[in-house]
Amino acid sequence: MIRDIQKLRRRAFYGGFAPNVRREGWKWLLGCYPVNSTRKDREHLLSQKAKEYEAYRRQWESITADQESRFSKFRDRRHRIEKDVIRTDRSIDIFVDDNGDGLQKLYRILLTYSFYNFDLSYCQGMSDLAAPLLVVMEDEVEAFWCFQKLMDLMEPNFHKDQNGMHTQLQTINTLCKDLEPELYDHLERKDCSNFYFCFRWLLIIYKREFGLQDVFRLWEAFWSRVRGQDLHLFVALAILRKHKANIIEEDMEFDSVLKFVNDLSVSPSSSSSSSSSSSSSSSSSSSSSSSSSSSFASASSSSSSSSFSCWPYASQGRMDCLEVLKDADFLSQVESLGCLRPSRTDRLLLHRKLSSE
Amino acid sequence: MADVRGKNNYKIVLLGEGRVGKTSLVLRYVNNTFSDKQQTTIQASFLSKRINIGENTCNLAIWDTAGQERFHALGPIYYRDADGALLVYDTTDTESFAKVKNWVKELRKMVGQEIVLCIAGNKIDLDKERQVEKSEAEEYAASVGAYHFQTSAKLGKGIEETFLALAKKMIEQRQENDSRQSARRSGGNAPILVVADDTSNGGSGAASGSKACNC
Repeated sequence: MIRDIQKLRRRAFYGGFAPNVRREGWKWLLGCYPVNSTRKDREHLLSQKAKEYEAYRRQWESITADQESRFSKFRDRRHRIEKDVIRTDRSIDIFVDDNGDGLQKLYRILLTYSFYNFDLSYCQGMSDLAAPLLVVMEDEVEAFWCFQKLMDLMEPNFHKDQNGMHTQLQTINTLCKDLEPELYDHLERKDCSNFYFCFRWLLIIYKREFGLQDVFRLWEAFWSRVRGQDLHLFVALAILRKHKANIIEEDMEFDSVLKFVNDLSVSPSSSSSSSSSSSSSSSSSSSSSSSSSSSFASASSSSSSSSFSCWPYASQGRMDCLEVLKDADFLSQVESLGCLRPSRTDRLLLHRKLSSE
Repeated sequence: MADVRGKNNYKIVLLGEGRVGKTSLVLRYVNNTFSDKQQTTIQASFLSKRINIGENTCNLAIWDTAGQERFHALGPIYYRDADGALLVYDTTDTESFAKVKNWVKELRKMVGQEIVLCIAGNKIDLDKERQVEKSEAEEYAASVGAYHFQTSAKLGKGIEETFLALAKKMIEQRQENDSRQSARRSGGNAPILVVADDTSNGGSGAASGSKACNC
């Protein structure tokens, strides 16, 4: 029973959900449940959703092999999903087995979604978003429901004209100009202020950059909306900020920035055969992160006595998820405070002030 | 630009429809590994390999791109200063071969003749499902001045040959450009033309300025 949705959001943001409440928690965060719904309402909603899902699913399931032979659009779509599903998160328990339930469910969810949202159809990246939902929900209908809601938020990322991606990259450009002018100048000079090297981060909200538990943690922080709708953009900035010394001092061009960024990922899609510059040499400029941690530290420690004590997980990647989140939170506050002020210089002063507190 | 990247450094970009096996080709070539569970490429990734060709050692910087049609607009970022492009299609999928033709057009239009093109028909291990005939693809490749190879990342077939041919051609192309440029510099009779040519091609990569000069 959720009496206070704001409280739930804050919990999701500061402490993260414990595994046993995540399944329900995500449905609240993603807006599956209306705020004032009773348990009965929600049970009813779920059964409605199951019927709806069934109906969409039957649409493609009823296409016979004979019919399919004259239906190339469907055939292509089905093949694409098939080929991507069998290479999505195969190291996660429920997807390990070639003929297992997990892959089947993921396949059906994606194909059914492409009938629910026929125009958008399927695009690479979607299986990355659906897989963690299925891990948490376990149930196919609930996972589909969450995927539907998540795609409501993320659909512009997958539009043919890529407007969603461009808007976000543009915002990162602006934020970087405001908050990290030195880094911005460097990137500008190297002709990479389009920030295309952040493409994957934004397209699938860091799914490939962190381990699964970290991804859970990040996603629920984003969906909590405690820091508005753009926290994921501040995460991008926080990561770049942490490594800005490397990027500037090593005089990185677009190629090297992209390579550097790729190598930060927990699962580089293909690891480089040549030695890459290590990301471990932490930049001196990130000293503010430790001082800005108070809100998170206190929040997570206060909730650690409750059921919301699923943190800290050992970070599997080269990036510390919690640190990134803290820095992003900090930056978002600097920016929101700064925006009330007229000049960039003021913002920088404020930035420094907050850093030193 | 060529100076920045170094004398023996060559940049190769892999382009082609999603799911044709671009990543698998590179991973087989560089690491000699194969996985049929290779995750989709969403953002280009980078691998490098050093090879010896005759007395030349060259470093190949290989950029593997995302094939998904909707990310097509990202292409120029990766091919803009490439010395060579490996255009990959899936021999069991005619659509993917059509996509190669689109890439050839785009590259010729945007980068010109300087970029060395090589076309690879991958997944020949699935010969029963073949849709693109070898002769057809070879004929097309020849018509656009590209190499053509048949590969199987799964079986490790044809891949060394593909990259080797590409590398040799890139070296050749660069030597040609270099000698042309030095010929022009050392007392060509049209120095003004040369200067104009160089500036107009500035930034287009290693092979800049080879077209307009007939000296």
